[in-house]
Amino acid sequence: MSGVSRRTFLRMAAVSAASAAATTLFPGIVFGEWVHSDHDSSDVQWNKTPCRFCGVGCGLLVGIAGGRAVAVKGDPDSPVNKGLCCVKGYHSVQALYGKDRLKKALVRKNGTLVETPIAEALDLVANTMASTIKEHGKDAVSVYGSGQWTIPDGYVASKFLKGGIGTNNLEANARLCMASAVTGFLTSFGLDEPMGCYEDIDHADVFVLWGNNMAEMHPVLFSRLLDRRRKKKGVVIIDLATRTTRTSHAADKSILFKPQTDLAIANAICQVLVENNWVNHSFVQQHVSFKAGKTDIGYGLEDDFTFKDEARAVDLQDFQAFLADYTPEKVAAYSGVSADDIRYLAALYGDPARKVVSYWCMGMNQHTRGTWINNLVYNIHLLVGKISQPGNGPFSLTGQPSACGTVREVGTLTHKLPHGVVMNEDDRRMAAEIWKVPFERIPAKPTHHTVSMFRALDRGDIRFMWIQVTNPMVTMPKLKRYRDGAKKEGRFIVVSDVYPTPTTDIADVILPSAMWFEREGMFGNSERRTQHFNQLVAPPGDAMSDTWQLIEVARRMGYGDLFPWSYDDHIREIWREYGRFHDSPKHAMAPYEVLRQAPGAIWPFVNGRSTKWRYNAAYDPAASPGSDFDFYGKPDHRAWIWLRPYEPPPEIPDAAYPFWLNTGRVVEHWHTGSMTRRIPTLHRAAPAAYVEIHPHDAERLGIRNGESVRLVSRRGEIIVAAVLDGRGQPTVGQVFVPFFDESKLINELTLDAYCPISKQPDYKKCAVRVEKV
Amino acid sequence: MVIVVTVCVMAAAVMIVGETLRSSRSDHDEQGRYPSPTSTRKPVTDLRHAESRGGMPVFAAAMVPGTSRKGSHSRSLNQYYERRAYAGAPPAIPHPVDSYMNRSQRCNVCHERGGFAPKFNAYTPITPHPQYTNCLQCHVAVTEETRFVDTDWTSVPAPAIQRSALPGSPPPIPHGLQLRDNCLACHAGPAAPPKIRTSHPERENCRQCHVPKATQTLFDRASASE
Repeated sequence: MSGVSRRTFLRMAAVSAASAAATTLFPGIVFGEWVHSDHDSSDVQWNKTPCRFCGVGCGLLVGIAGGRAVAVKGDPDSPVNKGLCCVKGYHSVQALYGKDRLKKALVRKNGTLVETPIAEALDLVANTMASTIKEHGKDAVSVYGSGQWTIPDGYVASKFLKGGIGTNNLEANARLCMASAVTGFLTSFGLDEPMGCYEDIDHADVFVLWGNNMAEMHPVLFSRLLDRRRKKKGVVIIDLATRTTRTSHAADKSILFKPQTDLAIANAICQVLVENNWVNHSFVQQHVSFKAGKTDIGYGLEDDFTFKDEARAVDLQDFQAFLADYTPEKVAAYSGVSADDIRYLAALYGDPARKVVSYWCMGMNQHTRGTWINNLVYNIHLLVGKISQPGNGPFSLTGQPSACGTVREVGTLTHKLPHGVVMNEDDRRMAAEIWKVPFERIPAKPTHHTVSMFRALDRGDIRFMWIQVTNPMVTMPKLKRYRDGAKKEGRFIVVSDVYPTPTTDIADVILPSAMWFEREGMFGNSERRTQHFNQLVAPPGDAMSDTWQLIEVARRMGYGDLFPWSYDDHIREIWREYGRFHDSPKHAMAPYEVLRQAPGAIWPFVNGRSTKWRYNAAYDPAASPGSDFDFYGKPDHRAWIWLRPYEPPPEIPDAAYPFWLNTGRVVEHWHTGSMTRRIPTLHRAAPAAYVEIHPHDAERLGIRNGESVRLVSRRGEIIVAAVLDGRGQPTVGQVFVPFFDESKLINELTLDAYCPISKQPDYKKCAVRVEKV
Repeated sequence: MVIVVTVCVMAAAVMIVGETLRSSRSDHDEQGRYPSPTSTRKPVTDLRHAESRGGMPVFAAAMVPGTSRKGSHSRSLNQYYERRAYAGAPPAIPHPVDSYMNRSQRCNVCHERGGFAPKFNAYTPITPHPQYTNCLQCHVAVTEETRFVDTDWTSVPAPAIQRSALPGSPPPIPHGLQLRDNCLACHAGPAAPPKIRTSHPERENCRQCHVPKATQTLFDRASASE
């Protein structure tokens, strides 16, 4: 029976009628959707915190009554969201109160998880870590964290692993979502993270969204775009994407391109800019260098794959010759975008009277040429000099609340340190000095990036993995290999989390974590804004912050002198110590006392002020005085335009697997849904994953709306309901599946190919077939 | 008197409802919540099937209260709060969202001005913030009544109303005004719950007389001068 069952209908009718009747009979009694607490609305105290979910980093005011969170408002003082939230933010605090919240440590004994005192579980983690190091060496233990780690979590993990144990086996799931953005920034500018900020929205005339369904994924910022368009005549939003979404409908123009051809489109835009002489020559002459890198760089599908790029100096003439392959007509032939549309886009970027912001997120980052496409969009902005000014700039959005703050700034990646990289002796010396550890202890060689780390676990090179605040048994591509690997005999997996997930299912020890404002911490959002939150409620049961779990284990292993702080002051002390790594006008962080008061502060925070536009001498104290722009991240003080060609993806639909598979999110759910699915409003709106199929394909295959279909790739298969008229519509020959549903694991099908420079996998393109069940 | 009239009007319905209430009670725990684990029913992905069976979608019949053009009763304050996770939360959408609406988000076609919606046999609630058009950013549909896992969520009751300081004096505003500064959207017109409907909608300068109740704290001259 399709639609609402009769039983449900009657039940809902009965509930409605019953509450209506009850009100009539008992006036004054309110039967709401929620169970009433013993407190009333006058008891509610409002406290600021950044949102727990995405990288936008909205400021929330959380209402606390009787030691529990009871309501949410958008913080009107937050420059990020100015009082507006999305449905996840408004219901975010309900994520604390799922019935199956992990409150006690669980230890696997004879195959079953047994409730264990937290101290005993921490002893076991420390002892196993120590014995694994003794037996198999330091590089047999690893920690895998996330962009949902608070800044203190990541800092302690880095100090413990790199400064204490002396291994670079530290990674975070931001490798799966932000790594290409990082390498894109580093290769083009020499320093990570955007030059502009969200305030660009209030000044821009044109917004080009590159493969970014912003209406659902960054809804609060998208509402700011719509607000800008409402208030200023002539503002246009262009949705450049591979499928039609709510963003396409709200945009002034929707341009659909074939997967992977964004590389060619970006080059074609540059070709038109150069051909029409729309180049800002004085900007290019003063501030830009041209570089070429290696081509035909592979896809990282082999276990022993390695790649190192090399920059070769070239010039504008070489760039012009390179662009000859990317005339609008040539690119139109394989991108599916008309030459007219390419010229239109170039005209928007090239019009000196219009300010242009480009936005992107996973579409460009989860890409086997992710670094390249990031470079190519920077090329466009650099050619016309539309960068680092209010309303002009490329802007890489993030998916997690502290992918920037923790993973990128603290550097919880194998090659990173809180300042710089492990390969650089000066950076290692700085870390050793601040951490007061022997310089020799910090290894100079990176070990494993995320995919490689899970491959090493499968092979047995890594024997111990501690996973915090993330759910790799849902998110790893080509999931079966890595799940089977993690379950092998002789592997010890510790998982710190707040709810049971497919990842806690494979754990030997589960540590219950304090969530969000159950502890004190900081997140860093996409616009370089650091936001502090106080502990507002007590964590349940034995739950403990990830920071403190790491400290407890480190102390048990004899590294107590690295973590001399008391529980009461450890967040402040960590912040002060961490701040020493960034003590320069290029990256100075706001003092702890400022963060406690302000709705966040943007780094570089110099002389009591946030730096909103980096590299622009009018705003950035690190730019050399007297210049207009100073791209000081590179030794030549110039931004680099890279000659990056179109190269095809590793797997393309063929006769056996004729569809492109694209994966992603929905507005209701965040990441793997382990929190948002426990929020009733969000679950009721989006209870299960589905596959979006174009009606023409469905008709050809005889598939009706709502019917179950089998999706099969060379790696795995799932059965899922088909949606022909959902909120998004893929093009003919493409299907889309959201990844939040742990009972419909789309990553069984995805390919573990990655960008050779960033090592970030591509979740947006692989080949599948669709079968009627 | 009101009770008697209501009971008469609902007489037939109450007989049926009583029966279904008893049969549906077993699905709830004592707080009226849905049990865990969740139902294995398929998600409702296409509500047009429901619609095509008999004109009015069953979903809408169940979820939209009996506001009618002829009848005198509108949605109650309870029904108003039933759509919310706490007082002040964005309400869920009680009617089906068809595929066009789901993509285009043209909700304001009806919700900016209000009026009678024959399709749902109800008056359309008016949004207090029509300037926002990415509507489904905050308001989401109810595609099925299940829970992934049960919840321990509780919140404070909705603020009490009619707390005038003096007999007959204008009551203060008991709620926040963020995104809700157009008072008439919720306090006037046929979609407004009668309990909070103003008797004088023609006076549009509402906050001339009604002011937010911002604090419980008594003014203390000594500490105020500190």
